[in-house]
Amino acid sequence: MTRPSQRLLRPAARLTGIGGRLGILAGVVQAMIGHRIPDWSGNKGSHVGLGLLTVALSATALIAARTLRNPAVRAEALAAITLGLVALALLCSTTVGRLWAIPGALLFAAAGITLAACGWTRFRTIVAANWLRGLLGLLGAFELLMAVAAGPPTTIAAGLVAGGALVVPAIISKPSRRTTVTVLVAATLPFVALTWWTIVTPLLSVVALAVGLAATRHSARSAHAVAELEPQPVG
Amino acid sequence: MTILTNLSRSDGGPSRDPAVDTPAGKAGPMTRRSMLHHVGVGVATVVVAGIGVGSYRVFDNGVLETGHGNAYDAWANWRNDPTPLGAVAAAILAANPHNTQPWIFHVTADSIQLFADPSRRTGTLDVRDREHHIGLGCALENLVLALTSRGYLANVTLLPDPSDPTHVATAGLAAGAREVSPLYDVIGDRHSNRGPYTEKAVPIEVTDSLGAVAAGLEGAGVRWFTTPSERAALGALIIAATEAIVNDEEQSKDSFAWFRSSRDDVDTHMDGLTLDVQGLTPLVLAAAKILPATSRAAGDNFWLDQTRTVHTATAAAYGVITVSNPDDPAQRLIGGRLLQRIHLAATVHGLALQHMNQVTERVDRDASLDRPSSFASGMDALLDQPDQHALSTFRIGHPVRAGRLSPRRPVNQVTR
Repeated sequence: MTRPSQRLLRPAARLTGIGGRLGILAGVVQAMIGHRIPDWSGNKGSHVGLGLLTVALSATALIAARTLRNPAVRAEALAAITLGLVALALLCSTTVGRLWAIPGALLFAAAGITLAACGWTRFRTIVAANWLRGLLGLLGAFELLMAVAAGPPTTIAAGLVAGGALVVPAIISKPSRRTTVTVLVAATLPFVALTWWTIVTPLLSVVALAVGLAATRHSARSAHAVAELEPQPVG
Repeated sequence: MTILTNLSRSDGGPSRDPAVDTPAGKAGPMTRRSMLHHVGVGVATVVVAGIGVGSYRVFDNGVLETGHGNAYDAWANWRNDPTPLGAVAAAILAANPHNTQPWIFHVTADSIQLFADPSRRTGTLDVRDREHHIGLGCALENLVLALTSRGYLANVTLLPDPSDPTHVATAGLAAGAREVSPLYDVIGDRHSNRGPYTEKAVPIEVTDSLGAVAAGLEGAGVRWFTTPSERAALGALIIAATEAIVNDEEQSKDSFAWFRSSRDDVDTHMDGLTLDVQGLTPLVLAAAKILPATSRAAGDNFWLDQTRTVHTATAAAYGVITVSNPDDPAQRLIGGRLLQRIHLAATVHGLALQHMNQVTERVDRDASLDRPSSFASGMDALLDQPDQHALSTFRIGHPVRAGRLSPRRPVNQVTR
């Protein structure tokens, strides 16, 4: 007999995979003919950029689906996938309009099932222990969101680098203080220099630096708490 | 056993660190350090959430893509098409009232016909269609410049069909000498600049050369207001007219109807006045886009304040296009052509120009209500030119910052 969590992971993986593929399709449609079907595509000014962003983000759902098919998947991964799928479903609802209706619904459903597979208590513990890293990743997502709606290619590139740089310390298990500061400052500075007048980007960088440093200091204790969730040696 | 199954062993176990929640939420006694930690994390969460809202507004309202996207493609592509249809691409970049783009073009083998689009009127703000026709005249001028640069004679017939008042002009496509005017070259650089101008004066030789472009446009002229006393008098009349418009609810509503406060509105309509073209500093512009949209009353107050403190206060000179009969559509079209030429010539000289038609908007509003207009008599007195009346007013000067692009509907949306 299949264990409950295993039984849940299969439909979660299937829904995530289908949602991701349909999301990629929606992104391709947006990029290619989004301007011709404004009622469906959300009537976006930068339909090509937003379409390509949707493709890239939807591709991460395929990676998540693959991870969910692994029977030895860790609870931390399940928690991350749950949050990632919710973020993806919300974010792409702003990039491709109504084209996201079905992929979005599938990814929301997949997130719910993945959460059930993880277990609410475990999910809460993992989220609490990694809260600051999560905030840092969230700031990275905000940076990416602004970057894809930017104008000149140089600004877009600087924004993508900055957003990516914020995500890296969030997913590396134990980044050093020096690495965190170096990565955050070096990577976000060009975007800030190009867009300082928005107020949001410099503020985001300052907050990211503070959260990144706090997350670095906190990571040792967090690892300790999460370690309690890991399998215990038999005997 | 799988890891997932084993994980359940730790559920409900105690945490060794009070700073983090235990799996079952059974934290130890709250210490000052853990309390501070929780407060810090809470504050960080709220700040990040606030940044999230700000980031979304930056994304959603196009703060970082000013002048980019489908609504602005017309400014980048206007020279690409060497055919007569390409001349239409130049024509749609013309100055026009409230960026209503009140035109429709019909391209045939031997002519391009220009029609007015009555659905794109500004109601009580331009109750007698004065600006409507001026805008069409501006488009006609760009069309002629673009056609002659493509080797067409572009002989113009105004109002060719008496039975159809919306058919305002026809430009012939007979072959002629190819003439690329310097005015044609700056069609894509011409923008209304509502920002502040520097204190640098506009030399008399420059205003003379701007006025000289009227050659060939019979019946229309330009009266310059360059001395401090002249500028002060006309500026005061413009401020008074602006106050009158703001206090006239119908005019205020009809004006606000063409304001596009969000990027979605811009992308949907590709017309109207936007925050981008208000002449704001980058910082103020970004804040205006990130904050919620303003109300009509707030917008009116802002406009009146800008008219007082920026537009009239920093005008280096005013120009008034004059004709003998401002109610005659043909004279309005000719005056519109002159206005567009002057704007293009000012662009060649590196000067900024802003159209300021509040006085004539009030003149026509008063006339439509059959009441005497202090603005009509006031403007006539300032002009001091017998048998000539004001058609359209503008200010010029050296810009503090460049004008920004306004959205434009593409050629395929304005041709039939």
